[in-house]
Amino acid sequence: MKFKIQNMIFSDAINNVIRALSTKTPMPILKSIKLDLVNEGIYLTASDSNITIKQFVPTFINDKQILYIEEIGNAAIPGRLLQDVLRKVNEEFVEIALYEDKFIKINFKNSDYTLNCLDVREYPNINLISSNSPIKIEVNKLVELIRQTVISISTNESRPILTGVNLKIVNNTMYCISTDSYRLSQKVLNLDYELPNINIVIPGKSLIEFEKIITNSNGLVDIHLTNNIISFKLDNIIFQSRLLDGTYPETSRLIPKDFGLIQEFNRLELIEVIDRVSLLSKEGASNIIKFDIYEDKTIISLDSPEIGKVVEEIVPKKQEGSLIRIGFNSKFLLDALRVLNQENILVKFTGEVRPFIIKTDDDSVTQLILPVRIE
Amino acid sequence: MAQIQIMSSSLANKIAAGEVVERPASVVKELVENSIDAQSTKIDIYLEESGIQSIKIIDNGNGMDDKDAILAFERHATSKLLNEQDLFRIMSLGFRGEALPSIASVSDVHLVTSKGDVGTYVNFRGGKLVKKELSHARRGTEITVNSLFFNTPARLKYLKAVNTELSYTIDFINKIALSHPQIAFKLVNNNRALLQTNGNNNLINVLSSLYGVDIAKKIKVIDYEDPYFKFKLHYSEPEINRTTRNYITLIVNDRMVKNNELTKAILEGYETYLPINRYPVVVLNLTVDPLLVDVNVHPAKLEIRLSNLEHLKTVITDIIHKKLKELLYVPKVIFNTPEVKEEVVENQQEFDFLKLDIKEEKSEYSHSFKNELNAKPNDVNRPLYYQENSFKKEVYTNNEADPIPINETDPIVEIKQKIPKLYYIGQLAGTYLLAQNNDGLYLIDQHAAQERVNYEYYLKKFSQRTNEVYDLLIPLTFEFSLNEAINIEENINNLLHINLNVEKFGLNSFIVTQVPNWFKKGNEKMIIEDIFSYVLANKKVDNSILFNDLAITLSCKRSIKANHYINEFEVKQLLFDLEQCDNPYTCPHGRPVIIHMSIAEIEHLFKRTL
Ligand SMILES: Nc1ncnc2c1ncn2[C@@H]1O[C@H](COP(=O)(O)OP(=O)(O)OP(=O)(O)O)[C@@H](O)[C@H]1O
Ligand SMILES: [Mg+2]
Repeated sequence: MKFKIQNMIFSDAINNVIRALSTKTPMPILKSIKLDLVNEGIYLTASDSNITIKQFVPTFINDKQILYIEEIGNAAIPGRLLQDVLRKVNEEFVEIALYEDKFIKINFKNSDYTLNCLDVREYPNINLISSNSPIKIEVNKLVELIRQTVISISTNESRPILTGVNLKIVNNTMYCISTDSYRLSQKVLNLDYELPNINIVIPGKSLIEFEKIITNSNGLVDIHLTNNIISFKLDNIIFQSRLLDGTYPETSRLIPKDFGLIQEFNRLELIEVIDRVSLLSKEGASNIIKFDIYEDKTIISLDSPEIGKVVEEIVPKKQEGSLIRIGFNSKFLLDALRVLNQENILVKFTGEVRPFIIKTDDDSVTQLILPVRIE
Repeated sequence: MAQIQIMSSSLANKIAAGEVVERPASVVKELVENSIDAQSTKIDIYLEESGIQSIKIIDNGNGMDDKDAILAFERHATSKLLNEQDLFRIMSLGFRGEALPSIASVSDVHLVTSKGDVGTYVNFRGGKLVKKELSHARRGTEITVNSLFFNTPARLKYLKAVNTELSYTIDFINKIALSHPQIAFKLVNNNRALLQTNGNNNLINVLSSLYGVDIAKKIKVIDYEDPYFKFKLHYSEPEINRTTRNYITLIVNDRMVKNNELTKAILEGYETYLPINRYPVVVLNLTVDPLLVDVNVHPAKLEIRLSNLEHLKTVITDIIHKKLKELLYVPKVIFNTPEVKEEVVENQQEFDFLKLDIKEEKSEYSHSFKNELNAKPNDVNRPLYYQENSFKKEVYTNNEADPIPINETDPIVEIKQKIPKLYYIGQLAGTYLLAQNNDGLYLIDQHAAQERVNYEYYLKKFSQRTNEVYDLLIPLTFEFSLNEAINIEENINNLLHINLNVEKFGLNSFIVTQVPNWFKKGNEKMIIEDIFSYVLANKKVDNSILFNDLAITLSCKRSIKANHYINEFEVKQLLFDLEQCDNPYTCPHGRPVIIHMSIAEIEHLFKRTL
């Protein structure tokens, strides 16, 4: 294997696939990125056995040749090291070649790096799945969907199923749900084409990584599914992840439908206030802020005995319903507000100890927050 | 006049009863074993008031004829051992011929038995035959033991609460059902069916009916054979772990036994795979030449002596260790729906990459465990402990195996004041923090310090009467064995005092719907498990002792262990927290947290002062 490639494009691809590389793996070969050089271009693959990312870089991009192939073949190169070396190279092109199946030479200008590498034949076979009827979704919609749901996944492994996002398709409506038991995010999209009903749980971590890869792209993502694997395809990138085992709890009855009080706020203004108030909350100490809702204003306060007290006042743009006093975790509200896009948001309360939801004009998304109850 | 007399047989029986019949569970044990020895395939056990009022066992075994029905109640009457040779090759569960007479001597026994032709009914009360008549001829035996210990009030008095007695019986039936998967067992107390196995000779099925499907799914099997013995070992994957050793069942030649050495060998096999104080679910089914086992160690026939024990222990430990290690790399079969076509991109190897199912948590698991392991109190070689006032003479080693009794006059304990401001120097042996101020050098045991901090934290949180709670969107579920479930159920109301709302959910599961806000998010499950295991270990929990003890238990569990490097930030936090403590000088177990050496003492040591 021997080729010359435009460093920037090659590095971009490495930065993408390297997200699947695990630092702690029992198989040393999985610390490598696998390169497959064929006549049309080069494939890069990395995997930690849960997530696999594969990207293709063609010889020509926009009629410009970025890859010169001298000899096709394949190799497994230590991923992090390759990334680090290339990151420090200022030349436009680098030349990469495999010697004696165990050395990789990287050449540019007057420099000559020889890296030890493992035998590519040890690299495990990766089955990439695909199905005849993928779900198709626009990149920006998918990015928004991921951002709006991953905030509520549980970050603790004690209940593994809650570390994922539940994806359900029921009669051509797609539901994406996440909850850590204290809050819940739900995104509902109507699909305009026939799809079979499904109910799967995608690891939140996988979605977070995938979102980072596609965030600046556009176009359509194809989503392929099997019983335990999900695969996303966008242009030349395949991102495949194992699904979580188990049944996701039924959440439909958790979202309230009748509300005794609805407030409308300017989203950024509310973020600003909550953000400031939260300065006095500390992990472990009280992170509970209180809303004392009056006819003409809402008093937001936080009292953390170890640190201090704060009281702020905010005037909602609109308000309707009976006055209440409610306490909840300020971080939950901030997270929810930050992933919404609209200028104004509605906070809909059911009661002082009942979950409340945050909505916007974009009816597809619901953020639910559980208040604390004083026993 | 001669003083020595042969005991009356009724007295001898009562004395024997003391050894064989301790409580309802031991009666159940003897009777069920008799039914098993009689080749039964179906054994039903009906209890009233956990057996204190009545125990009825119905089997479909060989039964007895009318002569044997009487003879069975004679001391040393057994059909199972005919000559002394037999004693060395015991294959039946009973062989001493003393169970029935012993039971009969302290209760009111009704026996209906038949070999299929004629039926016999006999009634013994206080060991005396009261009645004998013909009865129906259903093949098998039905034996009812009423009014246990009616004539030995002292024994009656020693019985524990009904639920505790019941939990002993459940525990026994669990184990006997595991040792006889070919027999269908049913246990009913006060008309409530507690457990049932189907007798289809599948141990996994039995495990599933006793401990729940979730556990049964995670059970693996090993078969082993060598010239000395063979065994079948059912063992749980490390992700399953329990708070007691009760889930370890040892069976030797179809007899359920207790043997600390074997249990230890199993636990050693799990070492580094399970968190400390957590135990696996294991059924060890050992087959050895009966000549090599001695079961006649104690009348309860639970203990055994085994020849070649050391060899067996090594084999067991090694094999478990090896299998658990392999398990971490065991491929999981992937399932693909038919409509999906597989696009195999590479084809150098047959190895299917996706089959590798190595969960990252596993490595973290063993890692975090290591810390706990290192913290084994006895391993920590504590350095010299100096008493402040009599520095030179009173140098002695503090070995946790026999903790130093800290008496009231110990100056370190008595000073009930906040610790002075300390400046951190560094960590010693991964276990002690060194700090200084104008008064000299301070040695701080990081684990003890953390324990103290946590303890005061928990105690404060527990005793805060009004508290912030969450009604969880998705309740947490916990599964227990039946006898554990009974204990938890009894304490549901007490747990409400710490704002934990536990609800029964099916026969042996619970859901927790409400947790206090101060539980660290994500750790709820762990904390609640700790609380449950505390409840299980202490059986009865009332709120006065609960808070203090529970706080001690929890504070120890979640503390930084010895031999664990902590960074400067953590040290600062710990010192700060310690400064806030009401009693920073001792850990909740009474061991010292801080040892102080004044500059004067140090100077004295270096012979700078005289
Ligand atoms: N359920 C039963 N079905 C048939 N025979 C029985 C049953 N229970 C007891 N027997 C007969 O009664 C005899 C006496 O029982 P007992 O339990 O007193 O002694 P054992 O089982 O021989 O020895 P051990 O004292 O060790 O239990 C047994 O040997 C057996 O022949
Ligand atoms: Mg017997």
